[in-house]
Amino acid sequence: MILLTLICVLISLAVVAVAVLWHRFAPAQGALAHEKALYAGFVADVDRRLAAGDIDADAAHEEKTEAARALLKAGDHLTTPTVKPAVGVAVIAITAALAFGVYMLIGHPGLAGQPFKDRLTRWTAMAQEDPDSVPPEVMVAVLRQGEAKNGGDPQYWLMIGRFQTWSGNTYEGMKAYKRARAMSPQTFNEWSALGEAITLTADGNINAEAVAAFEQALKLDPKDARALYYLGRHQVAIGRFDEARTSFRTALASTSPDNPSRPAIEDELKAVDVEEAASTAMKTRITGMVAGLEASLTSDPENADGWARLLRSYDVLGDAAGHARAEADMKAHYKARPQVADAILAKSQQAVGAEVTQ
Amino acid sequence: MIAEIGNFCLVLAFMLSVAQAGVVLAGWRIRGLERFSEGLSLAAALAIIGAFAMLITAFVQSDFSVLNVYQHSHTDKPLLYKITGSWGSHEGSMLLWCLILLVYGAFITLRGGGLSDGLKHKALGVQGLLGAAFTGFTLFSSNPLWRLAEDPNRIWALEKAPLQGLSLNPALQDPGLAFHPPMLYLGYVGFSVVFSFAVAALIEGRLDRAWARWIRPWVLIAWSFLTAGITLGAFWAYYELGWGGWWAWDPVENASFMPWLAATALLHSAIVMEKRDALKAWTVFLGLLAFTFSMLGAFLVRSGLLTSVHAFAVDPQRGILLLTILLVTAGAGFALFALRAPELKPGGLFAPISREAALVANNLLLSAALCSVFLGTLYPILMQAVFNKTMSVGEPYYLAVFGPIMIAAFALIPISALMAWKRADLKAIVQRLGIAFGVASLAAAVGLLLYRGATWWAEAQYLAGLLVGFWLIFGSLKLLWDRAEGKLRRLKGLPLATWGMLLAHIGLGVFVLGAVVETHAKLGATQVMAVGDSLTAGRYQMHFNETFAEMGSNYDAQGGVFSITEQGRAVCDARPQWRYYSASRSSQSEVWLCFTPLSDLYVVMAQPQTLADGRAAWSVRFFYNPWVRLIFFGPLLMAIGGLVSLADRRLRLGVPVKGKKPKSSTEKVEA
Repeated sequence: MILLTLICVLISLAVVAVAVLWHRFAPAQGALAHEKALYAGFVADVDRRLAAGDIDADAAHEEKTEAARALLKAGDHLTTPTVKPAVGVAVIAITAALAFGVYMLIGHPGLAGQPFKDRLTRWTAMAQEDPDSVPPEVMVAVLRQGEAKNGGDPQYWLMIGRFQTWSGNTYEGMKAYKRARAMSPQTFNEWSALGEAITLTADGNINAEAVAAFEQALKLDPKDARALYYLGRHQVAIGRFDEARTSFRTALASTSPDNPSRPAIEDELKAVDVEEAASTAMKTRITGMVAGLEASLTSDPENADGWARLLRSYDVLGDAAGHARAEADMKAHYKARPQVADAILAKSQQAVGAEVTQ
Repeated sequence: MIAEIGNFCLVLAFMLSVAQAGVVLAGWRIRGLERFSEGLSLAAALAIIGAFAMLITAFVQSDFSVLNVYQHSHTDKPLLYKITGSWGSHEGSMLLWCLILLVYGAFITLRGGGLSDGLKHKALGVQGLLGAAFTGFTLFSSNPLWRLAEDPNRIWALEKAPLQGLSLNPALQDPGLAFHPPMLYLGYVGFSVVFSFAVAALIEGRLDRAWARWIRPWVLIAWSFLTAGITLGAFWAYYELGWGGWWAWDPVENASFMPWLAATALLHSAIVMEKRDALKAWTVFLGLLAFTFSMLGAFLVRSGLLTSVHAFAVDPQRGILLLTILLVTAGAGFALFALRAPELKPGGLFAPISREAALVANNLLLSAALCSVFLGTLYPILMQAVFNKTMSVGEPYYLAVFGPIMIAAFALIPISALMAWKRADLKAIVQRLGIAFGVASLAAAVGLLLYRGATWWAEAQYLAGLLVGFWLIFGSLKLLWDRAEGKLRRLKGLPLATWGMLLAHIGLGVFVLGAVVETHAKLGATQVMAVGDSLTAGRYQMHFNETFAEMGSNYDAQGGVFSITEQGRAVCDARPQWRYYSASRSSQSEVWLCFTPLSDLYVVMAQPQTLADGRAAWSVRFFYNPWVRLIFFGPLLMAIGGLVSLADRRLRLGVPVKGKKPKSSTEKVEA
């Protein structure tokens, strides 16, 4: 507070000094003499331009007349200033003092600054003294100071990965785990943690990369509850309900009764029946729609888009027999026009959304 | 501590600005007091420099106890973007606005030796009022140095600061942001000086040629910076936002364009006033208008009225405050104008065929263009506000309304530049420009032969655009030739103002050519592509060779390597990226531009997706933008032209008291 006040006083003195120095050394102002000098310069410039041929005599005369009028007008209301310089100094000094007063009302003079570097020094000391008291996000910041020194050590990245994930930064956690894995694929054993980080980063979607990580984790430990839990969810999503039940049950068997993750696993297990019923109903509806499309193509086969849609539908449903049947029917219809059949096949395999503009 | 010092400096700047205005007002009663406004303007500028320096320091130090730093920075951000992040937010940019405003005020003091005391002090008084209004707004409503009284995330309550910042919008983490806003604000706020001089002159009742000469350098400075700022903004939007265009008639873009149009008109009317003592009222009106439009732009961007990539704040309360500042300052200025304008005597007479008349026509056309942009920008906003009716005014409106007006204005430029003051011989000018018109027509015809438009109307537009662009360039070159009397050694003796004018007009022609060719002959294609896929657009083919990963200091990028060929001939390898910034959990595409001297091959990748067959794919956009570089080069040439003019001895700040005699007798026609 004292230091801050001192700095504010010094800043105020600096601005007062600048203003005072300006008035001390700036050209004399406010006098008629200054106006005269100003317009004399202007007239001289008009003469120079006239001599150089920049302007003609009429224009020069007009400009000089204008200058003379302006000078007379200025002289009408100009008098020598009556205010002493000390008044100006007082005005600026009072303004600075008032500014300090306003600052004290609206500022936070007691709130210390928090440069990140200083905070990091404090956190490092705390982490060395009592690591358990340090929140994970702070521990990440502390650990990251050693990146230049320990960046080649997979254990370092495993630690970063854990703290990043605990702090909720699953993306950076995933990156750290992947770095550790890339450095030492043989010794890497945090597969389920990696799978979880990938899943959470993808907003809960268990993608192929996560599934591979969980499967790897189960190879190392078939009772890894975390891997079983996420794989169970994945199995529900792809319609393997019996496998999902097994996964959740194994996960429950491998966790102690007071394990905090048990309720989540139990909920998922209960939800399997509901999901299975919904899935069956949905599949029946989709199969019906596809059968309808196939029937309409049988009665009206001249529909290239329809054939492409049908083939793609069978692909999505994973019905290879249906696909083969539809493809044979389509080829039979377009027997005389094989290029159309090829185009339909290509379209059925192509992603939607190509566009060309000019 | 740093933030608190900055806060004190901001308070000090505000109080000094109030005092600066106060001493000028008090000077009506206590003669001589107003001269202290000079020292106060310097002191206020120093104080605001201190405040801004402290804000930058807080960003560099990543002091997250400062709300603005917390909201717009992160420890992983590169140093450059930590610094530029200080003006990447509404609050920080307001402080930048105040910094420029008060520093300009100090320059009135420092470079105002040639000004009459009365005018200078009154201008400083008005500048002080503007400074007080804007620093007051920043201090009390948009203070970038506000502290976090307590930790919002309860992470580290003891230190009353969050552990990490939320980082800056990735689109703003670009070198373009380092220069675009400061340039733009140097332009916007530069018009505040013209505004202050206009109000001061109206109060003083002294509107003469000297006044026009005093304001011209300020108009030139502001106009040049605004031109450069708008151009840099267009270039940034072009290569950073990944949409392949450079101007969308976005209301925020228009908000910067309107003061530019007003200032361009002012630049020309000030010449008439200086040379011929005519258009006094009109010039003062434009002086008031240019800064009013600058403030209108600030209001539109910050009020929450607009939804745009540029829009800063969605905060009606701040908008109302800004609107109040706008209405009070502009209202007072125009009210004063209404009171004093009838007293302004019309100046020198001129014939209908004269340079004055041509510049009046130029002003009328620019004003009409300004009205068209104003209407297109504000009409939908008013309809929404009054009738709750949503409507959109886009490119077709501007092409139909704004385009023809500007074509007429451009066509007039080479003719007016050759005209003499008072009375000109149109027949002689037409004869002198015959060759330039012939060459321009020939060049446009050749251009048309190389273009195949979709309709005859498109071809007609293309031809007209090319003709205007070449006409501006060759007409200006003809003027240069005439001024040099056909002798190259005489070029050296030409006044810098003449060079500046020529550069600006040629730059405009270059821009027109770029805009016309790019708009009409652009090619584009969008396709979902996986490795191994190809895309065709016109005579270009692009093949997706491979992907790559890159780790930046605060982002992770996935990129693609695309080889581009033109009818089988290899042109370049493009390496666009899709970047993920984990700190702000946001993504940004990084455009790849294959540079050819005039045109761009433009490739951008969107978010990755997975195809039905499991392959990773990206929606890829490819554009061939012919002559697009001219769109950015032309206006930069114009801005350079403005600065070159400024270097002319006769246009330096203040009335020239000292100076060398002109060496050449070729300075016969003044720019």
